Amino acid sequence: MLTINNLHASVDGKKILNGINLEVKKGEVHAIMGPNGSGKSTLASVLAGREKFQVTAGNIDFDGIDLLELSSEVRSREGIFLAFQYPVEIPGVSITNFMKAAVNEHRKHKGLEPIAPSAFLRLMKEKKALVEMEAKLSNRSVNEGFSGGEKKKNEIFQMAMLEPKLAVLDETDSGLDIDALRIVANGVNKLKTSENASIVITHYQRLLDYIVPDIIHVLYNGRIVKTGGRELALELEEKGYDWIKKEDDGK
Amino acid sequence: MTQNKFTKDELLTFFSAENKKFVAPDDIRTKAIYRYNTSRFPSKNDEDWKHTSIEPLLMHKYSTNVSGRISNENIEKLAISDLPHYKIIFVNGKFCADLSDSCFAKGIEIKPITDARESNNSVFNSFFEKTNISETNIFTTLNSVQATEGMFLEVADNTQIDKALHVIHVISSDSGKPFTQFRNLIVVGKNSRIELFQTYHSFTDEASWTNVVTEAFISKNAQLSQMILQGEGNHGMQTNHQSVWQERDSRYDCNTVTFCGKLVRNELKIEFLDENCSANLSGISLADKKQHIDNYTNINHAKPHCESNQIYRAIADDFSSVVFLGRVNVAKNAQKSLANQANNNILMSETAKIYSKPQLEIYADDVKCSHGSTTGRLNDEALFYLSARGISKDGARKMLLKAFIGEVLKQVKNQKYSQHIENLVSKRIDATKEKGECHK
Repeated sequence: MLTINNLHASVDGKKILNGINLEVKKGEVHAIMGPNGSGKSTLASVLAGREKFQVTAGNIDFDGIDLLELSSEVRSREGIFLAFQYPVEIPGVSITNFMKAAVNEHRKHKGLEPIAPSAFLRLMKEKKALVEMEAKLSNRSVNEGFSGGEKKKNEIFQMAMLEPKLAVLDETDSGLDIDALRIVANGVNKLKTSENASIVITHYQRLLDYIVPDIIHVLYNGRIVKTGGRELALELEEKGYDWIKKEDDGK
Repeated sequence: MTQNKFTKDELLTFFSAENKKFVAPDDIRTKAIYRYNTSRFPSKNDEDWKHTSIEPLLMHKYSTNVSGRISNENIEKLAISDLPHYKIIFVNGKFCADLSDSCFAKGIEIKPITDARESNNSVFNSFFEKTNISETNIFTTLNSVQATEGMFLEVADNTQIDKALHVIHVISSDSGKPFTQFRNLIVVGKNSRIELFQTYHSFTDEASWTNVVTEAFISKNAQLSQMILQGEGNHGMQTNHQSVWQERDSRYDCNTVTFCGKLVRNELKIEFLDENCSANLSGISLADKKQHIDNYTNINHAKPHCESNQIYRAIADDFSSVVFLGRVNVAKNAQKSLANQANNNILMSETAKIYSKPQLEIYADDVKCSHGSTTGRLNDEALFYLSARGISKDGARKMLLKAFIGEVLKQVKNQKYSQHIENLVSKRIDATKEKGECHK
């Protein structure tokens, strides 16, 4: 589904990604771990099409299309979803209006008519239940005054509404208490099918107790320096990232 | 520098030559003439006029006798249709009885201000010029000298009006540049409540100048809600000065929406004469091309236990400029005063300008006052967030701009009116073009 080949990216002239290679097949869950500053969030932003980051080399193939050619909105419509590490507060735009606009853009892209109001309300209700989101929250402005947990639930709610092929969850566990973490992880697990895939970016092993990855990658200095199964996460939990750094710096 | 077409002296004699009936009684007018002769036009050296040049006002040769008729059909288009209202029409300042409603709810007296003067109306006699509004600046002085048109509105005590009053001002000209001096006197009696919509429109591409002066008195426990919509086009200019005096337990709401104007200057002064008054001011300015919109507010918390809230927002595009200057004064004995002021602006082009100057002067020690001012471009983070959900850049931009203005409309109590404004704002924002590259 997704093939990243020798990806280099920089921001304001500073190199952050230095040759990422990654292949994600449908039905898979990949975890990307790594110390702070290793380039995890940059990779997420580049996948979502944030213009601030310049791709200086490499390419990304997403189901046969050249992802780097597409703007962020078209990537979303093609099925890429980024759950933000820091969801943005948007005063004055209600979640309902925001989602209606987004769902209809996705439908238009697929050549479908705008969604009927009643069907939309049903869809909202169903997806809110998935992340145990309070009904009244949808009349509020997007993320405005939300707690950390509410913001992250809202991200997974949006993911449920848009049903992406590939979800990139950027530090979705950060700042969550254990209950919120369980709800968010449950939501992600329920959305998993054999046709979609996710990339879970996290600093801590904790999230991976709830969302079980098939493959774990360790990112350091903008490259994937280690790939393994679940046991890699446990090893990292035990030993920290220092041994990886030493190993890589020694090369 | 462009040559002014009008000198100060010419401006004074401009209306006088025609031997018209003036609004101001002779003694007030004589004083005003003296004051005019000893005053000068404000310049950039005057603190309150630092960012607003009055030169555009003086660049045109106006004519007094502009003919322009308006059809009933056009008036219908201007009226806010889904809001029940009484309609009062002025064309180039002149009252149009045939287009206006003639029967009003009990307790409402509304007529051309010259009628009130000529009939020796006691309310007119006791309230006209009571706020000394002539002395505010040269434009209010000029209005006292020259105004021949205006509106007199008296609301009797204990009046609850069933519908809003909708005053529609139209500028129309077959030839010539209209110059209108308009004077309002509004007196709301005890325990009464009234809603007043004042909308300004133009049917000409000629330059025009409307100089409006309003005095409003809100008696004990009375409420005045005023909603002003300014849309006099790309060449219309308006200087608008209003003085509001509030008695005990009264409430004043004012929402000002300015959609366009070559030069618009709104001055709004509120005086709390007694305790437990509240004033809620909100404003929206949408400027583009080479327009200039200036809102100046001045609230005097002279007495304890009063509350004022202000929120003014502007979007400036192209080569336009927008000014907000808000002054709140809390007197020494005005304890327990609450005063909030917010001014937020969005710049949509590299060449647009915003000047914002919130000023608080507090002499009491037990008060709660806040003020804040922000000016910037649209939030890049928010734009990316919306686009990451599939919303186009242009759609995201429009969504954020509408939301930005929508926050002001939450302050407007009349929901049908705020819906009406929201629709107009949406239409305006939807019509703007995308200028992606320069916002990076």
